[in-house]
Amino acid sequence: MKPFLFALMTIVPIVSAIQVMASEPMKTVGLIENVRVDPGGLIFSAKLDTGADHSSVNAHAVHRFKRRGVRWVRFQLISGDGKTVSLERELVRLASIKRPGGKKQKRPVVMLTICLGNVSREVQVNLVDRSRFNYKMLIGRSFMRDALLVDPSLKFTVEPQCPQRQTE
Amino acid sequence: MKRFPILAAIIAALLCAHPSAAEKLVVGWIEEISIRPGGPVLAAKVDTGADNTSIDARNITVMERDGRKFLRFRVDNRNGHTVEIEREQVGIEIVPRHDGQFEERPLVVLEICLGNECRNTLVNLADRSRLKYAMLLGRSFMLDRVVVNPSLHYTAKPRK
Repeated sequence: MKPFLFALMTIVPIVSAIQVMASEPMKTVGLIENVRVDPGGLIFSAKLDTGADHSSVNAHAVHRFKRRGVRWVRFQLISGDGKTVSLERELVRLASIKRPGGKKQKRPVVMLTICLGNVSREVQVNLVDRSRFNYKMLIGRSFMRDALLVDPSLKFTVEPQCPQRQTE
Repeated sequence: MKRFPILAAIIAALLCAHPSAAEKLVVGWIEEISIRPGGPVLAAKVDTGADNTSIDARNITVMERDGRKFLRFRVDNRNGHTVEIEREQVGIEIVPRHDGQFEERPLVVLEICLGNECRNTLVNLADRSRLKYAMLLGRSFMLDRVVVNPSLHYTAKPRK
């Protein structure tokens, strides 16, 4: 019985992983794509940046606070068309950003769910003032891993088509 | 254009080449590239977020020859070796910095090969001494030819 159970526990995840890979081949998308960010449901025109470990989004009025001993962040997300949502999320960490020739910055990182095409993932997102940049969101490699390829010659190849997020 | 004939040639070459999606080379986000002639090999970050291409150039010396400006510089390949490269300066790139200031970087043309894809590329000379990879390969190299798989690295063999 025991070896059988062990074999089952080993084989089932492997087989299901293979099925997932077979049914969801890596998709090639463009440099700029519309994505949806939840909670809030804002749509951002985002740049897919293979040089970035993690994603970042345009956030204003960022305040850190403590709730029952846990570190939280209160912030506003502002999309390219000026739509705004106010959110509170648990702080995951403070990221140090290295700049060529610049000084180090600390940025709050929170978990947000990004939907690009039919790929939906909750990933770490840096909260940054990106108001002076064309694209208010950058998608980093942690979102793209094992799911997406980037063709830098293409733009707007897909629209966000993920099932709406369940309530928390 | 009179001042920068090489620049004009690159733009003309760009306008002629449009391979279809199926022919595009798929590479990882870190790749070894070679620079021709001479073939020094460097690890480069393949960065769809970067417009242009830069190289970590140290000890830049300027030489005038027949009224033209040449630059000699050294590149640390992060492997215990330093290579020396000399090219004509074809222009200046004005790079916005994150602190709101601007930086002027000299531009040269390097023939960069990633796998079998070789392309004369405008490269700005930058101080990347604090960064892990000596070269940043931007979209100026990738356009119409390269697709990036951010889940892979070191997929292409550098061509000599």
